[in-house]
Amino acid sequence: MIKIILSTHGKMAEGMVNTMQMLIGKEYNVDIIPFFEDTDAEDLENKFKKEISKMQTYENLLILCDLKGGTPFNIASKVSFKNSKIAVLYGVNLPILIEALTTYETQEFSEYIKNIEKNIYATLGVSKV
Amino acid sequence: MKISVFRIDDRLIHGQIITDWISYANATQIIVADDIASNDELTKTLLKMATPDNVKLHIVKICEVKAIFDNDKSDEKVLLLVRSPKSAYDIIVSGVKPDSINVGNMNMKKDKIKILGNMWVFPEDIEMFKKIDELGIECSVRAISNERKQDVIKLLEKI
Repeated sequence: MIKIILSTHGKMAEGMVNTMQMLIGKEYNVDIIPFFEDTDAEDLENKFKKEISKMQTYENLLILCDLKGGTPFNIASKVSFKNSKIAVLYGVNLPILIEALTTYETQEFSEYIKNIEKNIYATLGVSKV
Repeated sequence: MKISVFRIDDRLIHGQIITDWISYANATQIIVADDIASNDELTKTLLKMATPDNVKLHIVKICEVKAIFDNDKSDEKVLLLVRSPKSAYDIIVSGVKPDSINVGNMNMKKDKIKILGNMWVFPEDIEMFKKIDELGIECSVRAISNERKQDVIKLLEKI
């Protein structure tokens, strides 16, 4: 089983969930851990640790973050350091969130992560028209 | 190398640094001066992970900062990051003098006094800011570069 958490600066995570549900339906959901201007970094770390402590032995966790080097990414990387059951992605966007939510049931964790990493580049570009 | 921005920020390298201060400072290098970080492999790995690929990162002890500047007389611009006013003061006293100091985030903790939403200080932080001010170095708060500067000494007078 793979669990997904979306962690961003500000209301981006909440907004992405809202938009994602508009596109693929309200039956899809994802836990969010937002980081606001007045969020204490230690509180954020404790929220991640709490989620990790709830993980079952058979479970994997994918943490989707907005920005490499941002506090959500830094703390997600810290709490998952050298833990092969957890993957941290940075640069999350709407298509990759949707892919993450719609493909996790059919794949093994390492293959799932490899595919997401590969496909994220295909979600970016400039229209040639 | 030359100090372009000298910042006190207890989150060290994070979103505001990545998206705003590196380009504002025009910095090609970041120095994180922190005795704890420089002795901790996990913290060092995480700081490296957070740093953009085109920026060179130095993680050093407070007492090593002076030598870095002494050994590099180039014009390369540096973003110097410390966690506390005490670290900033110690670096200044060691002989590295910035024109001014930018104060970013000083997180809420038990026994701290609230100055601003993103600035909480221990009594000893107040003393350090006063000592830095006595050396003629201006400290002002700005989380991001296009905010209005707020003078630290004036803010501290209000408590």
